[in-house]
Formats: sequence, structure tokens, C-alpha cells
Amino acid sequence: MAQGPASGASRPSFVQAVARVFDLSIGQMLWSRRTIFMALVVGAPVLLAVIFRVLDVFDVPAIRVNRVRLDGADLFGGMIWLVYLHFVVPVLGLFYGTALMADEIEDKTLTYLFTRPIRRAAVLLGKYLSYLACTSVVVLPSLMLVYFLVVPLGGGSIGGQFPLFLIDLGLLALGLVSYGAVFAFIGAWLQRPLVTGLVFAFGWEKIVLVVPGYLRAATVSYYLQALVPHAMPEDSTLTALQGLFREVPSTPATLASLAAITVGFLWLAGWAVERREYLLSD
Amino acid sequence: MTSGTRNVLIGGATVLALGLVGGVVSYLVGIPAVGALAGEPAELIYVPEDATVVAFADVRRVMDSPLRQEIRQLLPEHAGVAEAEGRRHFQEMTGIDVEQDVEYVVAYLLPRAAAPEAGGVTPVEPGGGRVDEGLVLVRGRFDQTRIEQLFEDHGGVVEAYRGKRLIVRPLDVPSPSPGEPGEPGEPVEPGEPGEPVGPLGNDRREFAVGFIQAGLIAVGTRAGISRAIDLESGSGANVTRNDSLMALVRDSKDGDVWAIGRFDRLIDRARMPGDLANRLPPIAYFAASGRFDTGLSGRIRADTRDDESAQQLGDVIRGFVALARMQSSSQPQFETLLQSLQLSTSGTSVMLQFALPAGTLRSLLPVPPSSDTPPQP
Repeated sequence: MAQGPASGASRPSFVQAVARVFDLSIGQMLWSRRTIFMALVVGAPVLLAVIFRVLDVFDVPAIRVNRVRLDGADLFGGMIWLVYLHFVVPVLGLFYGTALMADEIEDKTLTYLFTRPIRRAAVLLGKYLSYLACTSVVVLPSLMLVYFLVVPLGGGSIGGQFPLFLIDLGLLALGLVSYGAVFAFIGAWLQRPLVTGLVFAFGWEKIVLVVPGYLRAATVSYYLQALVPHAMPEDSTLTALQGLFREVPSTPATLASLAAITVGFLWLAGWAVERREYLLSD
Repeated sequence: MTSGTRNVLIGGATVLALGLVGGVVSYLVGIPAVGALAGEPAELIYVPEDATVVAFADVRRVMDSPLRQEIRQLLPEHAGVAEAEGRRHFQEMTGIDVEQDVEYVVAYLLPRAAAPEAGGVTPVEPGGGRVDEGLVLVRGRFDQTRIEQLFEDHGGVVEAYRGKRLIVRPLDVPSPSPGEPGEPGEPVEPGEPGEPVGPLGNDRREFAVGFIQAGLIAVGTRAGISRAIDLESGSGANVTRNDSLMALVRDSKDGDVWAIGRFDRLIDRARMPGDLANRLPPIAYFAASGRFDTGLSGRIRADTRDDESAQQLGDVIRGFVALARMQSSSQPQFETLLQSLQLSTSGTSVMLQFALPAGTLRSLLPVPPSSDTPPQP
């Protein structure tokens, strides 16, 4: 006989509940329309790297800045900054993080989850973990392919740059973790999370970083940028200003801050999910 | 979780794991970057971007060439003995049999002013007229333990730099006479007559061998080897970023031996008689390459600063060739060589090609005395 939500005898533990939701959500997330978007976002840098490689084979001098040929390591560093850190990671965090609860509301399936004998926070955490798994298995291999394609250009050494690449991998994973937590909270708390998330990711985060003072500490990118092992490319006035006012916190402070952001926002997201009344309108 | 989802997760994790394993292996054993250089020696990544001269020799190919075998037979017995003695001495010093162990060699020279600080050694200010920094990268089969032992026996000290082992051996510098510059206790300024002379530079008091990778050693100074290791780890720019030099490398890479470089920088530092340097047409770059087969063919290319200079240089060479042809009437063995010379000018490039058949080379070599020739009184 099916047991209702009030039945406490077979109530799974919080961890078991998280695991069940993770198992259920990962498939839904991976085979959703959003995955096509993710494939385009992470496939573009790989395609770009292939083009660079082909141009290099034909000795076409395409990769130049101020008539100076960039070597593979510099190019890869630029891609980390401009493509992955400034675009791919925030965008994936935004689109997946804000959709953790919003998708269930939109599909009107939230009731099925909330009527199960599990805590609502476990639903959010399970979906958050499935977001991490889903994005990590796509973004990190994409970065790996880009690394192997781009770094050897101009005689760069795959082995020599590998320790820095490991930092890059960890950095992107941290970015997905922390941005995901922030946007999970926004998605759980606000009615229209996508708009707010876009304003946060591409408005607040970009503007505050070029403002002198302590305000930049209220961004995720401030901490992520402190961990980047490559030089910041000055591709625009904004990045030039950013470089001018750039202050780099220490690595322990950065890691502690990112951990605090992640734990804090996940806790807030769980708190919001536990308390908020979700209206499934037609 | 469906099997499709599981496959995607496993696929992504596998790509990641393979990449990590490949990267770690590459980091530990130094696998050269596949496809980084289209046919050029991978060791170019150890050559600084601002090298003045870069040279390559496919030792294995040259040693195995029919031409070399023939020359070896034609050389007088005493010359053959001297060559063998030289090889044996080198083997005793380094543990390397050039004929058997070495595949190919890449070397570079760097002007002292351009040599940045590396490995804790600060280069000194420019002296005059000499090339200051250099490194020879040798690819082949080496017994590292034996080489280390040999060097240690001769006063070498094993050091480590960024996880690579190098052996540094102080040079035996003869003590200068009292009153002369360089007297013990008095520091000798770089460029002064008493300055110790190293094998690959004028200001080196040491000789070092670095084990860069399995099967790749670097011979030079501690600073040069440190710089090569820095370049491998991505610290600093290597010559593959220098489009001008790389264009010459790509143009010369078909040769079994080649050398390319900045002619203007060499001239600036060379002690040429009178104002000869000023009289030469302004040559910016040079490239020379040679192929060893049954004969020897080669090509020398000079890139001038403008078309007019190229024409002038072409005219000068033509004049010399014409003069040599006139002189060669009395020496027919040179006629074939001079006949094979082909000069061409294209834009700022002047190219001189030559081909020497084995027969011509044979006639140029000293004839070994026949055993039945009666001794001269």
C-alpha cells in the first residue's frame, strides 16, 4: 500500500532523499532542451580551438594581438578568462541554477516532489547536485579538449602547463559550485529568477568589479578571478579598468569566501524552499 | 538513472580521466606536444624567442649517408685515427658515443644582452665581438647514471632545477700570471682579457649537462639549461613565436643540417677587419642547409632589408662566382662545384644553391698515399 507523506515509519533520511532526487533529476536535466543550449555554449570554445589548430597547420597567422603571435598557453589563458570564466560558467550557473525549482513549477510537477515524505530542502539539494554532475561532465571535458588543442600551438608544452591547467579545472568546478548555489537561491526565492539572475551575472558582477572599494567582495567573480593562474587579457576598456583596480585576495581567503558563499546560499535556498508557498498557476 | 544518462556521465568522466592521465604522464616524462610543430624538431620549444642563431643536425642521417661512408674510406689513415681519437675522448668525457648514441642535435646562440636572468644566474653586460650564450640539445640514447658518474668523477655537482637533474662542472681555468688581469682574488670584469672562457660563451666558469627529458640532454651552462627548463614549463617565449626565424626554419627543414639566424646581430658582434661590415649589403637574416646523400647539396639564403640590397648582394656574389670560374681553369676539380652554383634573387631574398657529386668531393679530398708508393728520399 502506498504510504502518505505523514507516514514516518519509512521516511528516508535526508541523505537518502537527496540521493533519490539526484537520481531522478539527473536524467531529466541531461535530456532537457537546456542541454542543447549547454552543448552550444561549451561546444563553441572547442570549435574555436579546432579552427585555431587548423589555421596553425596551414600556418595562417590568425592568432595575433598587436601583430604579436600568441602562443598556445597565452591563448588558452585568454580563453579561460574571456570564454569560460566570464561567460560559460556564469551562464550555465544561471540557466541551470535558477531552473532547479522553476522547471518543476513550470511543468507543474513540484507537487509530486513536495508530497513525498522528504524535506523540501532535500529536493533542492538533490537537484543542485544533479546540476553539478550534469554541467561538470560537459564543461570540464570541454576545457580538457580545448587545452589539448590550443596549448601545443606555437610550441607550447602540454606537460609544462599541466599544473596550471589543474588549477583551471578546479577553478571552473568552483565557479559552477558557487554560481550554482547563488542562482539556486535566486531561483528558489524569487518569482522571476532568470531576469534577476541575468542582471546579477552580467550587470552587477561586471560593474562592481571596476568600482574601487569593498563592493566587489559582494560578487562571485571577484574571488574566482583571484584564483586564475593566467594573466588577465585587456580586451576592452572594462577589463582594462578592472585590471587597474584589481586587488587579489589571498588564496585561503578566496577559498574560504567561495565556500562561505556556496554554503550560505545553499542554506538560504533550502530555507526559502522550506518556507515559500509555490503557486502552480495555469 | 537510465542507461543513456549513465553513458553520458561515464563518457564525460572518461574524457576527463583520460585527459588527466595524459597530462600527468606528459608532465612527468615530458611527452613532446603532438603536432605543435609541423615537421620541425620539437626541441625548438627550448630555444628562446630572441636566439640569434639556431642550428640543427640530423647526426644519424649524416653518419649513415653513403657520402660519409665514402669520405671515411677516402680519408688518410692518420685523419681517420685522429677522428676516432676525438670521438673516444669525447666519449670518455661525456659518456656519449656520437656515432652510436646521438640521433640529432639542436643548438642555439643568444647574444649576451638578450639573455634574461634564469636559474639564479644574472647575465653580465655585453662585451665585444663574441657570442655569449648557447645551448646544445642532443636527442639520442643516453646512460644517465654513467654520464652523472663521469661528471662527478671530474668534479661535477648534481643539482636539481624544477625537478630536472643537471650536472654542473666548474671549468679548469688556468691561473693568470701575477699582475695580469684576472689575478686570483681580483674579480675579472666581463669582457676583459682575463675573463675565463667557457665552451659556449665567453663569460662562463662552468659547464653543465641537463637531463631535460628521457633521451634528451642539454649541454651548455647552468643558466642556459635553466632557461630551457623554464621555457618547457611555459615561462618565457620560445623561438616558435618568432615568425621570422620560424619561416626560415620551415624553409630549411628539409636539410639534414641547417642553420638560420639574424645576420645583422652576428655582424654587430663580430670583429670584422676595417669597415667591411659597413660595406656589406644590409643582410637581416640568413639560412644555410645541406643534404647528405651520395653527394652533398646545399642552399644558402640571405634576406636583405629591401629589394635593392638583394640585387646588390646578388651582383656581388655573381662577381665572386665569375672570378672563381676564371681562376678555376687551372684547378679542374673546382669546376664542377662552380658549375653547380645557381644564384637566384626573389624580392629581398638571395639564394645560392650548389650540388657536389661524390666524384667531385673525392677529387677535392687529399688522396691517401698508396702503400706501393716508394718513399720519398
